[in-house]
Amino acid sequence: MGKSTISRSIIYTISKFSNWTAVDIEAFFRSKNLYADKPAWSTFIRLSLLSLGVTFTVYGLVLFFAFNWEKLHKFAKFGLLQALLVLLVVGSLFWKTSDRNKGILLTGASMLVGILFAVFGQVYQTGANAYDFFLGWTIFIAVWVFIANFPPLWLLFLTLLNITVFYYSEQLRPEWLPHTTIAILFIINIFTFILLKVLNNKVHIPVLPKWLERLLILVSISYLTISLSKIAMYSPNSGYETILLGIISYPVGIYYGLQNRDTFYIATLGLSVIMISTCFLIDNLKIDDISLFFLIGLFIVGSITALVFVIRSLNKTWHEDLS
Amino acid sequence: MKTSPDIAQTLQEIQDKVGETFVYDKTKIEEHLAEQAGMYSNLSIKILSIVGAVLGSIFFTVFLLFTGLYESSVGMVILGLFFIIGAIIMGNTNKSVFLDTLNISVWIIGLFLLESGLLYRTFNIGILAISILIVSVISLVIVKRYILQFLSMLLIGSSLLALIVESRAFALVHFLILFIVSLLTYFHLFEAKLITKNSFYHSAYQPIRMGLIFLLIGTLLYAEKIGPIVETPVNYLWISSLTTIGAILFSIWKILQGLHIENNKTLATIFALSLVILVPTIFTPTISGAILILLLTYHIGDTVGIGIGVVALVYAFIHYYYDLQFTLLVKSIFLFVTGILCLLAYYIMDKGVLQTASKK
Repeated sequence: MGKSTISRSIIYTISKFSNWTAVDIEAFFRSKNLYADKPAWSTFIRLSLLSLGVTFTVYGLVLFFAFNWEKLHKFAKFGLLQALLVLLVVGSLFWKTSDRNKGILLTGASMLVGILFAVFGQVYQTGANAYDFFLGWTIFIAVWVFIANFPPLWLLFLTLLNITVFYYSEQLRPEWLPHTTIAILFIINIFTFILLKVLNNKVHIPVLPKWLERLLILVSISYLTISLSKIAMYSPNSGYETILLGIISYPVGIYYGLQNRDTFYIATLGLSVIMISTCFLIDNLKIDDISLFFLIGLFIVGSITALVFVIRSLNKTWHEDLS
Repeated sequence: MKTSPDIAQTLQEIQDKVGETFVYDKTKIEEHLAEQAGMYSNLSIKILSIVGAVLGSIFFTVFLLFTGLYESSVGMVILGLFFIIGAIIMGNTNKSVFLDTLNISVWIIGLFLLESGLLYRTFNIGILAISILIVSVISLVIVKRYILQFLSMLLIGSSLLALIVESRAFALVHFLILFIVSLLTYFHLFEAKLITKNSFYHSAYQPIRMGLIFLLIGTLLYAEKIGPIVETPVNYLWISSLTTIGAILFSIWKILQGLHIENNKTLATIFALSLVILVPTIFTPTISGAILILLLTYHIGDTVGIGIGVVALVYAFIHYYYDLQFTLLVKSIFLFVTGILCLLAYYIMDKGVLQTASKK
């Protein structure tokens, strides 16, 4: 959809103080590209049909297997799954179409890899646990992820990566400190973000849409917030590596937000700090419960109001700079 | 960006298009825009305000209960009403965004106290739901603030649902869905008509629209998922699917009209394809509901709505697997056939059915 230069609120305001008719307003909405036009709808329909088609077909097959599983010979199981996998991969290689369509096919293929691993484990009773399963899946689609350069595939890959690390710490019980798992997860996600961002700026190779960027940041900050809140509440004398990560990340994040004039960073980091401080206060204020609840309520409302005030002032300065 | 030369230019542009009959009040427009621009609100601020208000009001409410307030139900009702009225007055007099958190906190605390008081007194869920309904409707109409109107919208829908469940007339859920779907469709397709109708919609259009999106998802989820779990089943789910699928077809018709696609053959093809794709999902209205949201928000170019629609759609598909009303075979055939048809439709489109149509 084309970027519009005029915002809805201006049209609303003009309509409020004029005799502009509904028919004319609608025509104006269209002329300013605020409504999806024919090319936009064409993209929408193609994209939906292709992604729904691939998802439905693959999913329908999976359900069919689940229904008829016991009766199928193991070669039939593998044969069907692998034939479909090969079909999707070959399609993505030789089909002369947009990168996005190829990406959709490869994402479908990546889902199938996971199913294949599951079936393999089931048939041969490999005794693999969840960690092995997810590790295999992650590694086998990694090359596609880097080649395909398709955001939803990145999302699948990162989700698998996070799950793998989680199961690794759960099932193999490495001798990590209590907060290490979360610290590692944070580092993986934030490092991916930085890598994608740098590549995107330098060679424009990975398409990094805003939603993926924000999701990565949100996930990373959530990890840090959970870990630091736990430290603030239960074990103030541990998790120094996480505290160090926090000391580095928060100022960097805020600096980045200010540089890029993006209030999203200020809002999320601010909220994270407020939540950690709340946990700290709950544990460390040595007063009776009634006063505690009152003060905490006051603190939350007060600090969020202050944060909103800061964001609003930033917005204001940035807007005034632009005009 | 939003400076007056821009506005003058826009006004001139409209004047050129509409002609001499276009009369406007330039000073008021500029004043109003300046006031709006002074708010500098955005999505981050809205989400922060809601999170802060909900968290803050939880602590404040616990504090109020600790002080022994719970001993007097009349006291809670009176104090609750006092808080609600205070929040409404505050919302209307103070226009700055950064007091939103406090404003909403006071409103939520008031509502909570009122409901606790009533609960102690009557133990009647119906009365609670009706009182929430009344407070929400009044707040929606009187307070011209985005977040309060949005929350009111959510509470209106929730209390209606609670009333239906409490009276054990589960079939009425279909009417609630019909009601929400109709409003949602109307709000998206007739935006211009609504904002010229009266000044209420200037401030209320966006929050009501957003509230309806959430309500539709919530109600469909209740009908499909939560209802069976808490043993308040909503039978004949396909009735709700008729509503959502009907709304989708109507929206497609209106949107095509707006795009000036009037070739009968093209129209028939598009409708036939849509129906073929939608009919297999008839037992899971959440899917068609999510598609409806996606369609409508894409039409008006609302990225937040599109995001919500996509997430809802993905969830609905995953949920499909766990829905045990049908055997896996029925489900797999439905899905597989739909998938192949989608790919077929894509192939046909690639051949250029719509392209030739769009060239006309």
